[in-house]
Amino acid sequence: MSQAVPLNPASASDAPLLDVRNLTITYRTDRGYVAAVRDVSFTVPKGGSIGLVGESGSGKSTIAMAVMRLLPPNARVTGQIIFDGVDLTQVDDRALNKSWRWRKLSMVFQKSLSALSPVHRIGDQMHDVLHQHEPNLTESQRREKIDGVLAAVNLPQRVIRAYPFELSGGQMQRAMIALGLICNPPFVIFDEATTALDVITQSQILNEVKRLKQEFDLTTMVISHDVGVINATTDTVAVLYGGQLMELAPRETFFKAPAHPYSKALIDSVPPLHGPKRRITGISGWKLDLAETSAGSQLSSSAPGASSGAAMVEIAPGHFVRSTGTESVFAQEVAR
Amino acid sequence: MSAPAPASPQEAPSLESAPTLIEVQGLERFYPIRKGITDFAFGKAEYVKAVDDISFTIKRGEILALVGESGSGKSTTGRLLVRLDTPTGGHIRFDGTDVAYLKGAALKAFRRRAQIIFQNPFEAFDPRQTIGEALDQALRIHNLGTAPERERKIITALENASLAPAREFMARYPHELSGGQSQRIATVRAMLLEPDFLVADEPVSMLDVSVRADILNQLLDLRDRFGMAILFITHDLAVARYVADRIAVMHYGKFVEVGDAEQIIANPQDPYSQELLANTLPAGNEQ
Repeated sequence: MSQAVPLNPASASDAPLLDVRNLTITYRTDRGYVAAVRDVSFTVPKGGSIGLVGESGSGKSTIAMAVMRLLPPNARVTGQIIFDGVDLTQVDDRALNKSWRWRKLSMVFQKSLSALSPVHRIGDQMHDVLHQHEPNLTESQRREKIDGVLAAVNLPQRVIRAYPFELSGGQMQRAMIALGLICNPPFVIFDEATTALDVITQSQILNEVKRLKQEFDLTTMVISHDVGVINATTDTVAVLYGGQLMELAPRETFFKAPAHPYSKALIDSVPPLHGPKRRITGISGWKLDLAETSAGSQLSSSAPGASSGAAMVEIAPGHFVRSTGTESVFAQEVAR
Repeated sequence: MSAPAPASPQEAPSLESAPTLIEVQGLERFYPIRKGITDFAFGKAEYVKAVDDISFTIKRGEILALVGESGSGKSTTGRLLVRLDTPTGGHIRFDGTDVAYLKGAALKAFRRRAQIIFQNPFEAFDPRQTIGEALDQALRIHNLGTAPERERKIITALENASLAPAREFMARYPHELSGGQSQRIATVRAMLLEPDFLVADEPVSMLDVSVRADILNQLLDLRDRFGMAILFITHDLAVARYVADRIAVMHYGKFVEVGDAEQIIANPQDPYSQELLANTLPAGNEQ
């Protein structure tokens, strides 16, 4: 905390909990620089829920990893990630582990089988987290916390003694959510948290997430390629393509009147469950090669998206759309 | 909602009069739970009933979707129908012949007529073979054509699937392809043998939404052009409704409901089908 830089100490109450400003993330690879995220800006108010939707390579998980500060060393981040008034990109690693990760922000990953340690019991893994992030708790307080989060995600107490492989996919994902909630963070990222699950288990868990959001007064970021999941769990939708924001809109607006062609294509590429049957079409320009498209944009302090001229335009209050001018990545791909 | 769907391009003409290709009767696949040799000796063996007494038919040119949760026995059914696995009971009549327990040369001849594509396109090819070699191998195993004939056939098949220039794709290794390309090529490989029957086991669930439509439409076009019968395995009811003429809902190894796709979605009868439908998230694009 001591190294953290408070930006808006005055406006504590009405400031958004998360304020991402001009975030650009570039990876250095053997094939050159790859801009995985370009000039992305959005805010999430306290108690809100933003959905990042896009396909593989759209940069949605990279944004989440940047917020958690879990990016690999070859990534370079410019822009600001202001959480609760503090720019997380400037916080040093020790302070980050001590006061931020898990205590204020946590993340639930898609592959719980690989995210959990296979050789430790679930209870022990929870103990480890508490040891590391809340060292002042007594043994009985820890026990109480673990019992509490397990009950919150509808897992039986015996899970404490279980190894991950002894649990079903749904139970493991619940254990991951319990682990994410164990230090009562105000902000939780769900990265494709239900993608690997069955429809029935998925809908149960999404309902639990909604209930937990109320119960723990959570602010959430939900990452998914599935517009159905986004529709069910968020109040604001951010559409990403090729590392750029294409559209940022309130959920109802997004589904009723998507403004960007890519948003429309994304919604239309999924067959409807009810209503008239219609032929669905793929999205042209899907074979995006980020190394190729970012050939011109080298590492620089100014974000390439900002200078490209394809700006986000506010077409209604809170509804932003990237102009489909020739400068945007999507327009370039469609033209190919 | 109750209005019937308008005739769509996917609907095959005159399915009612089409001849039955596959007739499955009392199909079973039980896996023994190995506890100890003495349990077997004293007849105390227990079984997991992955597929438990199912019966159904598929006509030529028909797409039957098999839906259900993981562990319901969908994939086991698919593997049995192309005989990658052998049933522990029941019959599979394919074009009049019982293929359930075929062996050797007869099995190989059957396999030419019944193909399968899998969920994970990245594991569908040998990483050390080029795509050209992999496709050629499918034809060579069944002694189809001379080398130049095979090559011509592969090029035509790739180009028909919009994988052009074909020679460029043939020179590539599997890791040089996107997921959507790999799945299209896996479908091309299955189709090279001009099978009468194709099992598609969750062919789009690992792909990005933008390419899913291409794969689904490719399968529909192949069915329309060659009158192939398809067993389409999926957990996604909206996808099932899109591709299938009929839907079978599977639960714990049994069929709980089989019927017209639109009817099952609009008015499911079995409690489990109702639960499955109630838990399917609306994509937000329903009119």
